[in-house]
Parts: sequence; structure tokens; C-alpha cells
Amino acid sequence: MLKLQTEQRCRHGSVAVVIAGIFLALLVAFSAFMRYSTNRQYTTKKLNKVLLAREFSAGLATLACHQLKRKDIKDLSSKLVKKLSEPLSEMDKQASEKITFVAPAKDLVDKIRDANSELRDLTWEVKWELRKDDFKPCIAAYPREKIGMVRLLIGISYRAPGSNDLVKEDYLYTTRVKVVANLVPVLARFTLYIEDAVAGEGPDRFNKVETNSQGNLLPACHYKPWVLDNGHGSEKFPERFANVVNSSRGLVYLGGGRLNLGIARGWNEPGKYGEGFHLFAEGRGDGLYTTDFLGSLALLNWETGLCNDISDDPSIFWWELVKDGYDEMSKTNSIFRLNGTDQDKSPTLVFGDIMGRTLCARAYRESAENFGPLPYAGNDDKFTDYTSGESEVFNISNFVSEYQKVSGTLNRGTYNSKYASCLVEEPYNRALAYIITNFKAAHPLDSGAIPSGDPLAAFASGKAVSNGIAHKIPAPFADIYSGVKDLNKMSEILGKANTLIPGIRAARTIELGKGQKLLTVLEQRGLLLKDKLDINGWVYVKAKETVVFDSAILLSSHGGIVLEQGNIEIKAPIRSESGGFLLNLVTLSGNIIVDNALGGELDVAMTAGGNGSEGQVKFPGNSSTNNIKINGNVAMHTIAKGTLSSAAARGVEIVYDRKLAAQPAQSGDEGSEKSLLMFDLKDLPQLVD
Amino acid sequence: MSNPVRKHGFSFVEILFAVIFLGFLIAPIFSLLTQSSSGTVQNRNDILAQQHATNLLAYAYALPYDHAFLTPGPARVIKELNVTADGKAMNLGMDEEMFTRSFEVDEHKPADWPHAYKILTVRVKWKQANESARQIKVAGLVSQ
Repeated sequence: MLKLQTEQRCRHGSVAVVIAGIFLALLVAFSAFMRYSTNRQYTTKKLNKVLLAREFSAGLATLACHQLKRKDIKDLSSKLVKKLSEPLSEMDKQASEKITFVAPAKDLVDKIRDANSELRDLTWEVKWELRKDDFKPCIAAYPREKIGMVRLLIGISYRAPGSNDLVKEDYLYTTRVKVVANLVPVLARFTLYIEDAVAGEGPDRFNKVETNSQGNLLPACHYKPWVLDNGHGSEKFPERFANVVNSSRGLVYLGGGRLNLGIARGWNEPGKYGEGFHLFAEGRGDGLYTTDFLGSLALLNWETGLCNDISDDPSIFWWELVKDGYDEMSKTNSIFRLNGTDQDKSPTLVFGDIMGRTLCARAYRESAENFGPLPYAGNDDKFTDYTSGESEVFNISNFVSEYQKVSGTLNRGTYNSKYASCLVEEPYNRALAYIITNFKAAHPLDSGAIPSGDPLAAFASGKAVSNGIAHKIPAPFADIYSGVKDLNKMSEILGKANTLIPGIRAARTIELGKGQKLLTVLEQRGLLLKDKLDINGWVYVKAKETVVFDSAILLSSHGGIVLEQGNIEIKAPIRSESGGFLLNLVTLSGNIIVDNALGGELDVAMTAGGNGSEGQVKFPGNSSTNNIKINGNVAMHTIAKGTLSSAAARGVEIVYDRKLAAQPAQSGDEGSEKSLLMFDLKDLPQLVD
Repeated sequence: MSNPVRKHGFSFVEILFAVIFLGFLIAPIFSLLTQSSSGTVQNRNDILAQQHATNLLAYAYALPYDHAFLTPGPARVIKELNVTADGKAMNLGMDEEMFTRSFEVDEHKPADWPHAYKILTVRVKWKQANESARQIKVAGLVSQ
């Protein structure tokens, strides 16, 4: 009985255990299912938040990119600009800084935060980061030019859905950056560069300007001079070629063959366009110097500039000395003031085969009593007049007597060619020697101020052409383009640049359709806002029509525009807002024309390439047209081919922007391309997954 | 005398009792199962809603800034959306009747700033089986 009771108790216990077991198993299974289901819902909700956070991060990245591009990159003292401006080899391995949003980006950040209000307790931080490994060099000559990317690191945190857990997410965006200099290598080194200045005409083609003896323009003169300010003003001129080239003084190149440029007289009170400072004693009083001896006589020279002025005794005297042989030639001087003027001296080195033409008064002297000028004798009657002592104007009988003692009978031909006053052509760069010796050495090259072996001596003495250096790209610029060593190879220089500017140096290419205006397209692309042009890079333009700048422009950054083919017309002011920005205008095959109705200043560097009559920078108008001043430089294939009176008569003041003198391979900031750097950031950052 | 059958089995009453008892115990668990099932449906709806929102946003991102679709204005309902991409017609509409999708464009043009911006907000609303309203919102930014 007891055994039976025990067995029954056990059986009842088994039923309870089985029921409990089944129940527990179901409970566990359902719990697991519930947990899975809940997790899935949580994950779905979280996925929604992640999606929101990701969209928010994309908005932050876009706004960060725009702020960097439009504001932060303009602050030259900012860490970002400093780091991007370093030579690639000297860049830190890594550099970063927090981006603090300011208006208007800050307002927009607030708006997209509000739009993503489902993200609770949303906080964020945005940083830019530069890594040296992200960059590669652009062109070897300029070590600061580089292409790479700016990283945007975005950290976002918010509360997890249905809990107080903080979710943190990091996003990495990148945006491409190009750091390039706003210069056309080699050509930028010149205040004025003309590959073929002769343009199929004669060496005297530029002698068109008529000034008075002070150097002021005569009212009736159709031409007004091109006055160059090459920088450095009246600073002491370097005595070594290398020091000239390595300075920031703008150079000049006039190629195409021999040119004789008339030097303008600057007598007594130097006028606006006088050039007396090209000559010994500045072409003014006490300018006589001995050149040779004839028996007991000293033969003397006295050079002065050219002018069309017989309004006073000195002027009449100079004119009468040469009028029989050089009347017309003595009245006009060149349209170029390559070294500036007596009032604003700005001497520089002129490359090419260039001579300066002056009036050379000649005289003989034995004593204070036996002294006299030697006038040009235009015909035999005059020669007889002068030699017989019967002329009321000139008496050279004592000179002829002395000549006969030494060399026998003097005929008119020998007299005129060897002893008479005339116009002379001396190396244009001889002026540098006078300047270096402070106009006190009659034979400055003999003074030793310029070492005889220095190339500068060859330029000053006129031997640069025969030495083969007058048309050579000077070091260190000669190494920029491998295979291009000559200055008269503009098409090759631009051709090489052509592979650089629209190639890896170009920030963007714009193709203009028929009737489409460049300024409109620049506005559409956010590069022109109202009148403010903010290119900050090179733009390569393909256009079917002339590109016209017909509304006033303020530059808020450096910029370069390269037109593949066609003309560029400037009809409105282009000025730098502040900071000395420069707009580089280049047409690879065409002309740049500055409208004659436009006056004032232009902060532009102009380069016109091409062949034949293409490749000119034209200034239509004449001497009565408004003054125009170019703060930059001018480079062209040829000048006013067949149209000097309509394309170069207006005159222009070209003030060299010394930043353009940036030397290649400069690791130090001084004299480097740093101040010309442009920073092109892409507008839309890319998310790196 | 003992009965060997009675010794090793359960009586009918015992089994009946056990089944009834077990039934009482697992009834709440089945109600949880029902809840879980509706959670799964809700989950599916959430995912579909997100997909409808992101589809629309992705399409908007691909459009030019001045495209008519991105004309600024208050929220507008967009159910059907047939687009052509790379010459292929695509249907970005919503097959499910339960969803309502709206699209809002809010434009901002800061003064003296070259960029204009549009904040795009997509809302997808639907009603769950228990008639409670649900919505998700996704917002993005496009710039000119």
C-alpha cells in the first residue's frame, strides 16, 4: 500500500514537470522571438536615424566646403592657407583644424539641424585635415603648386531611439584642391614682352612721338608714349646680371630684329616723357666728353635726346647741328619709355637687339679760345661755308686746319661720317651703365662698375646679340620648359603652358555656345557675384565669339582665364578689391583689345599669342584718348602689325606687378610664387564610405 | 493486486487537467506572438517608408538645381513618380496604398554669397493596423 502511494505521488510529480517543461520551453522560445523582433524594430528605427545623420553630415560637408572656399581660404593668415601654401616637400605629414561655421553657413547649418529634428540632442564637429600623402606636385618649377584633397572629418552624436544611449558616428568627406600660381611662366617675368616687335617693318617704326625739349608731349602729336614702371623706382641698379634677373624688377623683351628707339630729350626741368637719364650727365648740361684726339685737338661728344622743339636757343642750336642730315629723324622719339621717364625712373634690362637713338653733338677743343661745334654739312656749299669761316652760324676752319696737318685734305663725306654732329644709335642698355655710375662716368663701361665678364656688361656694350644672350631666357627661368631656351619662341612657351594651363593646372573648362557670354556663365557657376569675380584658379575657355568684359569687375581673388582661340575685349574696369589680386588674361591665338572708351586702371596681366597678325595687345585711340594704366604686365606675339597708329598710338602706362617676378624652385617665401597662389576647391565634397 | 497499466500512464483526467492548465499558461505567450507579428509588419512598413523617402531624395539629388521638380514651395504629395535615367524608364512610385509621401523644398539665398541652397524634406506617413499614425522624415541639402 505504501509502495503504491509512493508510485502515484511520483506519477503526479511527472505530469507537473512535463507541463512546466513545456511551458518553460515555450517561454524561452517566445522570449527569444520577442527579443529578435524587438531588436529588428530597434534596428529599423536606428537605421532611420543613421539615414538622417548621414544626410545631415552631407549638408555639413557641403556648407563646410563652401565656407572654406569662399571665406576661410581668403584669410591668408589662416592655418589652412599657410599649410596649403607650403612647398610640397615641406608640408607636415598631417595638419587639421576645427571649422567654426560663421554666417551665412552657420545659419544654414541651423536650418538643416532643424530639418533633422528627429535626431535628439544632436551635436557635431567638423574639421579639415591635410595629409601630405594626399598631394602630388603640379609643375616642377613651382614647388608650392600642388594637387590633392582636403579631408573633412565630421563627427555626429545623438540619442539612440527610445533610449538615452549616445550614438556617435564619424564621416569622412574629401574635396579636390588645386594650388597653382597666377602666372604664365617665363612671360610673366617681363613688364613688356613682344616676340616680334619689328613686325615686318623697319627698325625705326616706333619713332613717332613728338615732344618738346623738356619731354612734354606736343599737343598735335597723334602718339602718346607707352611708359613702363618696372618696379624698384630709383633704387640703386644692380651691377650684376644675375642680381637684375633675380630681383623683382620687370624685364623687357622686344624681339624680331634690330630696333632703333629714339630717346626723348629731357632738358633742364624734365617733363612728363623725358628720358635724359639714359645719357651721360643725364643728357643735359656738362655733357661733353672726349672721344678721341686729332693732333692738338680733343674730339668731343655730347649726346642728348630727340625732340621737335626750336622754341629757345639751346633747342635751336641742337637742331641746327644736325638739321641738314637728320631734320625729320631728329624730331621724333620712340613710343616706348622702357626705363620709365626722367620724372619716374624705372630702369630695367632690355632683351633683344635694341638700340637707343640720340642726337650726338660733336665738337673740337684745343683751348677755351679754340673751341667749336662740328655741324653736319648737308651740301658742298655749306661745307665750304663752314670750313672757310665765312658762315655766321658755324666756323670749323680751325678744325679743318688741324685735320690737314694730321691727315691731309678733308672732304665733306669724311667729315660728315667721322666728325660731324649726327644721330647715333648706341646699345639701349648703355643707359644702365650711366645709371650705375650715377651719370658721372663718360665711359661707364671702362669704369669697372660692371665687371667686364658679367653678362650685364655685354648687354650694356651691345655685345649681347653677338654673344647669343640677347634672345635667351635667363637663368633660372631657362629651366622651366625643357627644350625651350629662347625668348623668341612664344608659341612654344604658350604651347608648353598650353599643356599645363588647360591640363592639370586648370581648375575648370568652360565651353561657350553661340551668343553665350563668359561673364554670364561665370555668374551661373558662382564665380562672379554681382561685380565680384572670385575665380581663384585657372579657367580654360573655348568660345565661338569674342570674349567681352563689358561690366565693371572687382577681383576678390587671383584668377586666370585662358581663351583657346579668339579675341578678348576689355570694355569696363577690372580692379582688385583689395590684396593686390590680378586677373591673368591669356588668348592662345587672338588679340586682346582695350576699348578706347575705357580709361583708368586695370589690374590685369595680358598675354596674346598667335601667328601673323594675331597675338596683339591693342590699345586703340590716340594721344587725346583717356589715360589707361595696366597694373600687371603685357606680353604679345607682335605689336600693331601695319596698324601702329590705330593700335598703339593711345599710349599706356604699364606698372609691373612685382609678384609676377616669382622665381622657380624657391623654397623660401621671398621671391617665390607664394603671393600669387590660387586655391581652387571643388564645391561638392565626396563621402568616403 | 496491482494494475501494471495504471502504474505507468496518466489518467484521462490528469491529461485533461494538464492540457487545460497548459492552455491557460501559454495563452499570454500567444498574445505576445500576435504583438510580435504586428511588430514585424510595422518593421516592414518602416523599411518601406524609408525606401520611399530615400528614393525620392536620391532622385532629387540627381536633378539640376533649377529643375522644376525642385521648385521651392510647401509640402506636396508625390505618389507616382516615373523617371528616365540613362534612357531607362524607372518607377519610383509607391505601390502600397497605405503610404502618403510628401516633398517640401525650402530655398535659401544668402546675401553676397555665390551659392543658393535648397533644404529638401521628405515625409512618408502611414497608418498602422491599430490605426495609430506613423511617419518618418528625411531631410537633405542641395546647393547651386
